[in-house]
Amino acid sequence: MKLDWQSCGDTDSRVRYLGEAMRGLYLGQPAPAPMPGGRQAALARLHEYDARGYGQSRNFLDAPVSRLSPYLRHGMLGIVEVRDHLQARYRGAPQQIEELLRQLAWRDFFYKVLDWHGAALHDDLEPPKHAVPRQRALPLDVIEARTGLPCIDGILRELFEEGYLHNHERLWFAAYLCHFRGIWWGEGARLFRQYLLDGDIASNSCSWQWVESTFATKPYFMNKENINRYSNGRWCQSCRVKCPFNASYETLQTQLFERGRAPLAEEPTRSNPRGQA
Amino acid sequence: MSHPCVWLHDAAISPEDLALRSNPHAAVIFVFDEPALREEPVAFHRLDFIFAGVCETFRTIAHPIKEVRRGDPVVEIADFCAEHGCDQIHVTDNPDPRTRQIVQSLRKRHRVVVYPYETLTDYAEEPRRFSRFWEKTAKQVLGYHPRQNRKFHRG
Repeated sequence: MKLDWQSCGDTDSRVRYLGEAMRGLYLGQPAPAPMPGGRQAALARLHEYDARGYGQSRNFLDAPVSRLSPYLRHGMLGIVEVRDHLQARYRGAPQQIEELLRQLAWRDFFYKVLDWHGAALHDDLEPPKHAVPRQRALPLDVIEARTGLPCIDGILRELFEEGYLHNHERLWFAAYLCHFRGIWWGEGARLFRQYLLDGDIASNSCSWQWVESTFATKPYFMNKENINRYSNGRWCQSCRVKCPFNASYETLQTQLFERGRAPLAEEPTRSNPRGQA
Repeated sequence: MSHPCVWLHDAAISPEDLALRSNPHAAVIFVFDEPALREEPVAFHRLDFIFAGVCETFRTIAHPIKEVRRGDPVVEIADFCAEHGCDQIHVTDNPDPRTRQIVQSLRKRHRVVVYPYETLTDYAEEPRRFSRFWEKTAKQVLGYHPRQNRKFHRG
């Protein structure tokens, strides 16, 4: 079936037309993408982005991260041109962008992992470093963003409505789903692919497997203190529920992995994988 | 004389795509992969983001034949080639298994020219841990050795 792309002159007509033409193949209602697609929008974002301070602030949800990953994912920007642009712009102070370039290298690394393993990346690359069984179905309360935890439901609503999550939110949700709910990582990776504007197999599946410990030496998890700190209290300050994350790492380690059978995860802020610069 | 066409897949939506730049006078096709979307439907905002990029890219292409289709990419690209007399398909590689599966299927009946995907690094070993990868590739990425090669990857 041919699509009449030439009749889509503005956003409204494009959305209306695409909603009809692709009926049966998408989730949700037709609405414009929360970020504009295309090379021009990609270049504008790249040129406007102030990368100074990225290395110090990137773990905080309020930090001005680049949000270039959807454009990199779809080839609207090239990874080499992003690197070259940043190096030219910050020529006199390369240390200002060193962390950002390292995050680009994570993306490059994940592509190489996919290139190496192919479709096998859809399954565990290594045995998990714990002995906890995993369910292979997403719970309904997760799909409906009604887990009752303000942070998790907030992250899910952001995923469904914005199509973008800060890297820390991705890690927190992945740890929640895998370790606190006992769901196999592949279910979460599929959910992210369906909703994230940068959803792919390489960065996405590798990051989920990193959290799960099937592509790492230990599982990643967080506690309330970590969420509260890096979200600047976005959810915790007004939260009244019994928080499953409110404990020390040692306590959570024992609770989650049956008396410490899994190696203790490193302090999370020191080991965040990225693919979403 | 050959008649190439370019297949833009969903990781190649740009006038700067290597296959496209290498064939500035070729017909171009983009296909929404219906079998893949039936198996794993995505949020509408993902489709709109992609479609906006495709429309914008198509407006920069001089060749009059530029088509967006919905269907099985192998079937649609073959039909496109037959309809427009194309005897070569040019495409930029992507490690995505579905993309490579489509290329393999197209090769059964067509000449397919595959261009390499962009990478920052030359690394031939099995990529197992980022720490080792970074140890070997940091200079390629940064242009210099980092002052201290930090243990693993500090956030």
